[in-house]
Amino acid sequence: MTRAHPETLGRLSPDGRWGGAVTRRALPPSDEALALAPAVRARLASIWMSQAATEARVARSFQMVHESLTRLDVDPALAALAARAVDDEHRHAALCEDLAGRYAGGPCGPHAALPHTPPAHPGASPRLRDALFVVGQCALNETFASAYLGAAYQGARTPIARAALRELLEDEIDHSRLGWAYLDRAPADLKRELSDWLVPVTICNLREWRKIALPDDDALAAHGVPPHEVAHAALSEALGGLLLPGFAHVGLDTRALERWIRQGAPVPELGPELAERAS
Amino acid sequence: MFRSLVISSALLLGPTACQVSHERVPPDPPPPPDPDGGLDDAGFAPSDAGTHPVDAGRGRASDAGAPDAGPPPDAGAPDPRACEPGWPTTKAFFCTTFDEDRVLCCNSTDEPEDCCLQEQP
Repeated sequence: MTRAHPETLGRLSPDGRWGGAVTRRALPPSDEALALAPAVRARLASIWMSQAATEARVARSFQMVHESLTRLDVDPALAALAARAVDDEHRHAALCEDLAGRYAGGPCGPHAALPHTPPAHPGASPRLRDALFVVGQCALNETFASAYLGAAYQGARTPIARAALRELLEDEIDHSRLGWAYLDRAPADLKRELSDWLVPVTICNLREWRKIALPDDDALAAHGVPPHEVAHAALSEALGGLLLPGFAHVGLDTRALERWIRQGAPVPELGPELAERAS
Repeated sequence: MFRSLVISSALLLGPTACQVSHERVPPDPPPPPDPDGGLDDAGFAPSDAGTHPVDAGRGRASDAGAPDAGPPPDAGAPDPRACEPGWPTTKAFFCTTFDEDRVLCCNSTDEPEDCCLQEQP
């Protein structure tokens, strides 16, 4: 019996990846959650509740990716995967609400509706912007997400946290593959243009991930919330160990990206003046 | 006293404002002679491979061009392309505050006064 809010469950499609179910596998009992101190339970509930909101927000990102892939006239199967990813993210939101409810001891949804501010990529042609959306949301954002979840899964010890993280991680890897598959088959002229954008679009995405605030210690690691240092180390490892070779693998020119990584992957603060100008 | 998990946007960001070098990918060097006239892994080659060295094979650009092969960065010149939001993440913990025995679930990031206080058992 899920503890997700009916409003959130109402967004799931019966045609989704698991036929309308929230997860692939039944989740294990979570009796250990009730044995935790109230403060710890409250903290974990709030974290999962927040993640429900952010997962739902990414459903809107995949709506945009689906529209971009359609305009790019890709293989319809690829566009269909993006459409399914929208439902995946709503399922994730429901899963996270369920986890929040387990720690809170009762239903605590629906999740917040967060504002959605995607990049605009000013100066890019409509075709290039569509391609950048796929690269940014799938190849970059979902690869970073997979790295984060991998780090969380490694430290998780409770059955419910491991089960939830495994469900999320499987889908995020799938979503990142969408971007890599698109890039592998992208036209040569578009690959040249994308190569020129590789550093700035990576900076924009990494900036978002570096905003994540996590505990300084491993107090919540067993429950799937990694320490700050562990999570950010995983992001850095993904940058040099997955993204850089991945972009080279699909035929992008990664020399500028490699230089930036060798310089320590500096991510400048988004000043209000430049942010306004960029928009 | 409430403690907050709201993210500080400045966390881990460098001290400088968004002033990054507008480093363009350098022009590709001429492709080396290919006596075989083809790719060592033809199965990977995209349909339009060969029209540009970048697309001429797996890892071609990175492998062929040394990291320092390009011109020096145009230091100090801002690149507005890096100065906008990235795609929202699924793991950023916005808009949630907690107390010893309470969970605060917000409906908006900018109106915390409208948050709904969840009593814990």
